Amino acid sequence: MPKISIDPLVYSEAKWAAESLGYSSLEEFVHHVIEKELSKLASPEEDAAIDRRLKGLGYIK
Amino acid sequence: MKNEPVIIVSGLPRSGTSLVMQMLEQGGVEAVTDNVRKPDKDNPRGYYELQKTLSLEEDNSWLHEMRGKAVKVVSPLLYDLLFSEKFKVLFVQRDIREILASQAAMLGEGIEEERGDDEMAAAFSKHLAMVLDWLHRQSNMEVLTINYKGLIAAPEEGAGIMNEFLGGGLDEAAMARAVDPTLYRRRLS
Repeated sequence: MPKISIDPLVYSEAKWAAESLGYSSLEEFVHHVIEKELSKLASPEEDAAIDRRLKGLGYIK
Repeated sequence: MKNEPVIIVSGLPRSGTSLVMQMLEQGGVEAVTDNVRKPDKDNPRGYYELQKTLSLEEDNSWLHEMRGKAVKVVSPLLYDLLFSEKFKVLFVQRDIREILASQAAMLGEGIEEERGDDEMAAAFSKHLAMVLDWLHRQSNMEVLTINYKGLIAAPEEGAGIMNEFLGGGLDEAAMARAVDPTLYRRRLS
């Protein structure tokens, strides 16, 4: 399992938030937050669709 | 001129960027365009485009020469702006459905699209959220978001806000007169 380092202050705030929001663990909370943020990003397929549309309109090469 | 920021007018294609360029030009800002794409039925007052912006990824050094002038750069190309230059970005936002309708009209019949409007709307919405988030985190960029519908409804107010953002000195009345509501053709209601 990969590990990442975070600022101690962020860690303690995240731990508090995870407990307050009823998550079973800090790991579960962090996993959920990252998944939620990732869902906001355009997928490679969506990026490609935008590129195709803008090329069709002559706005990008 | 030396320390003036470059004025960038941005947004998705068909969001109202050409209108903002027209307003700036009427207000007294030099709006840089090469007129390669000529005015047509989709943009009867002109596109205000500069073909060089399509190659920003390969060469963005010419942006130094644009200080104090306005250049139109569509949102996906903003990431290629110079880090060493200061920018004031006027970012136009319009209802995604209106943008898609306007793009479809411009593309015309017979253009095959793999994705439906709902999927394209979702893709564009994510793109806009990402690019605006990125813009606000750039220390060399100041950003003013402009609501296209609001600008059409209250051009004098919009001109005032744009003038203030750019440091004043523009002819607000002339800017407001550049707004022609009859050219707002793909409205939802």
